[in-house]
Amino acid sequence: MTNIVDDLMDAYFEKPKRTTTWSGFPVEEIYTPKDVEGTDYERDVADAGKYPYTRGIHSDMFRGRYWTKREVTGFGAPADTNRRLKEQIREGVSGLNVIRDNPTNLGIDPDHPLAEGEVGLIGVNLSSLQDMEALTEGITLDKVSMSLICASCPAIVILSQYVLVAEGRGIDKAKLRGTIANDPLHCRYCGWRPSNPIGLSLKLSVDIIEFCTHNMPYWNTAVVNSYDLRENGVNAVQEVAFGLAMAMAYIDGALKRGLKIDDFASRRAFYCSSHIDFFEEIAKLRAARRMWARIVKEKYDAENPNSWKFRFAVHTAGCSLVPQQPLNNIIRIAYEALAAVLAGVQSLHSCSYDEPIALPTEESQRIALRTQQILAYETGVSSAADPLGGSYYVETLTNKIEEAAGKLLNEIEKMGGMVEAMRVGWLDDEIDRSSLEYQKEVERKERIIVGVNAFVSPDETETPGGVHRRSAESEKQQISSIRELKAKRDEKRLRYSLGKLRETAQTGEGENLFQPVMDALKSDATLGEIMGTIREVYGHSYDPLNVLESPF
Amino acid sequence: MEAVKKEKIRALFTRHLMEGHDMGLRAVVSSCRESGIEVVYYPRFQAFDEVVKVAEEEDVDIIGLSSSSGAHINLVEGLIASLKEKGMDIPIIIGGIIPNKDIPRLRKIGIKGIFGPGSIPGEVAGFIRDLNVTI
Repeated sequence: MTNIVDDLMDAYFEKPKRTTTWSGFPVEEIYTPKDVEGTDYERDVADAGKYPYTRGIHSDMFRGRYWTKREVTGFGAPADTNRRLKEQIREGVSGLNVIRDNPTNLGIDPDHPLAEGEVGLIGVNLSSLQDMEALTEGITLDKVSMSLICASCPAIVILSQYVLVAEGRGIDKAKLRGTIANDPLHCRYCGWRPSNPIGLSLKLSVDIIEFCTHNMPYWNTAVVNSYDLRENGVNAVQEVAFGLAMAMAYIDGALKRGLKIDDFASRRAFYCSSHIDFFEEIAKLRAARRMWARIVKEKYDAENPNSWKFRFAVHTAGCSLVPQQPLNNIIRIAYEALAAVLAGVQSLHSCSYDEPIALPTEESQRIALRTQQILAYETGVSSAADPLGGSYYVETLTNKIEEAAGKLLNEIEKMGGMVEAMRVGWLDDEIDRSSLEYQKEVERKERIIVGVNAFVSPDETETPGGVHRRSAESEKQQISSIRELKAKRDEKRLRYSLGKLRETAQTGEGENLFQPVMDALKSDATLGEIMGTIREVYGHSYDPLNVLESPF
Repeated sequence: MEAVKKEKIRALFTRHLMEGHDMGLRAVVSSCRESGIEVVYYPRFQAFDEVVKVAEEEDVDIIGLSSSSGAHINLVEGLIASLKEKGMDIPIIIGGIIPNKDIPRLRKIGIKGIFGPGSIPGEVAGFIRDLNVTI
C-alpha cells in the first residue's frame, strides 16, 4: 500500500525532466518581447500573403480555401485501390493521394520473377496504361486534385499514364491539377533500393519539370520529400536544411536545361513531416517558408512572387506511432495534424492509427480523415491566418531554427551542393548520427514515448479494428492481366514505339523523353519495358535486378 | 547439455531487396555493435541462398531480418527452408512492422525473437546475449 501512495506523491510533484526541444534547443521558462527584439516585422515576418511569407502564403489562408484533405491510399490491383478512393470521396476527402507498390517503384513489371509476393503489397501496382484506367475509373480527372506518390524511377511513366488517360477521356492536360512525387535525391535515403543511377534519375526528373512547365500549368512538377528523411531519423533543423538543399539541386538542374526560374519555381512543392514536438514543428514550417522565399528571391533572382512561396503538404509522422496501445496513436496524429494546420499547410495526410501494424483498414483511414474534419469544422483553428504569429516563443523558435538550418545549408553549399554532399557520404553520416541519437534518447528515457518506455501495458494480442492485408488474389489477377496485355498487343507497333524511344534517348541528355514515353504507353508498352529501354541507352542493364534480358 | 556462453557472438542482419524503411534495422545494428556483438551487416539480399552463404562463411550465431512490407511470413519461411537445405539451423529473429496477430504463427515457425516498431534497439542486443546462453 505504501508503494502506491509514494507513487501518487511522486506523480503529484512531478515536473518535466526534459526542457529542450526534440532537436535540442534549450527552452526558457518564459519568452518576452526581449527575445524578439532583433526581429523586424515587415522584413522578417510580414502579414500572411506577403514576402517572406513567414505567416503563410495566402493573405486569407483557410478563409479562401481549406487545406486539401487527402489520405494516402494504395494496395492490390488498381481496381482495389479505385474502390477505396471512391469510398474516401464519399467520406469527404478533398484530394486523392495514391501510393505505388515496390515493383512499380523499382520500375519492373508484376510478371518479373522477383516481383512475386510484392505486387500490390504496400501500394498499388501501376505498370501499364490500362492500370491507370482502372485506378481512375469513374473519377473525373479534371475535377480532382491527384497526388501520385512514387519513387523517381517510374515517375515519368506514371505521370504519362495519367496524362494519357485524361486525354483519352477528352480532358485537356492543361486542366489537370495535382502533384507527381519527382524527387530522385531523397529516394536514396528512404530505404528503398534506387533503380536508376543518380545521373539518369536527375535527367528524367528534369524531363518531367520541363514537360509540365510547358503543358500543365496547374500541376506540381516536383516535390521535395523531406518527410522521408525525417522518418529516417533526422531532426527538425536537418529536415529543413536537407529539404531546401535538395530543392536547390533540382533548380540548378532545371536552369541548366535552359528553363527560367519564374517558369517553374511556382510549381514546386514540398512534402514535410509534422512530428510530435508541437511548437518546434510549427516553428520549423514557418522558418522553412521564410528561408525558401529568401533563397528563391535573392539567390535565384526570381521576380514572380509565386516563385517565392514555399507550398507544402504535410504527412503526420508515421515514425512517431507505435504498436503498443495503438489507439493512442489517434491522439498523436491529432496533435501533429493540428500543428500542420496552425503552420498553414496546403495539403494534409493524417496517418491512420494502425500504420505501425499493417496497411490501414477502411475504418482507421476514416478516423484519420475525421481527425482532419474535426479540426476544420469544429475547432475553429482555421479562421485566422497564422494564429501563433507574434507569440514570443514561436517567433523565437522560428528564428532559432532558421539560424541553425542556415548554418547547415552553408555547410552543404561549401561542399558543392547536395549532390556532392551525398556523393561523399556526408548526408549518410548526418542521418545515422541523428537517428542513433533519437534511439538512445528513447533508451535513456530522455525521450518519453507513452506505452513504450513509460506507462507500459501488457502486450495486446489483437489489433483493435483488425488487420488489413491485400488479398493474394489481387496479386494473381494483376500478374495475369499484364501477361494478357503482353500477349494480345500489336507487337509491330510496340517495337516501333520502343525503337522511337530508344532513338530519342540516344540523341542526348537534353532531349525530353516525355512524349516518346507516352507514345510507347499508347502501344501498350509496360513500365518495365519502357524503363529498361531507357536504361540500356544510358549504359545500364535492361533489368535493374539483372534477371531479365531485353526482349527487344 | 550445459549452457556455454560464447565469448564473441556473431550476428547477421539483413533485409530483402524489396524492403524500404531501414531506420530500425540500422539502429539495431549500431546498438548491437556498441554492446560488443560482432555484426555482419548485409544491407539487401535478392535470394535466400545469399543469406545462407553469408551466414555460413561468416559463421554467425544468429540471423536478424527486418521487414516492414507485410511479407514477413514468406520471408522467414523462405529463409528457414534455404537453411534446412544446407543442413543449417541458425536461430532467426525478426523486426519491423509485424501485426500481433502473426506473432503466434511466427513463433510456431520457430522465430525466436519478434521486435515491432515500438521496440528499443538495446532490447534486441540483450535478447541476443540471453539467447546465446541457451544455444
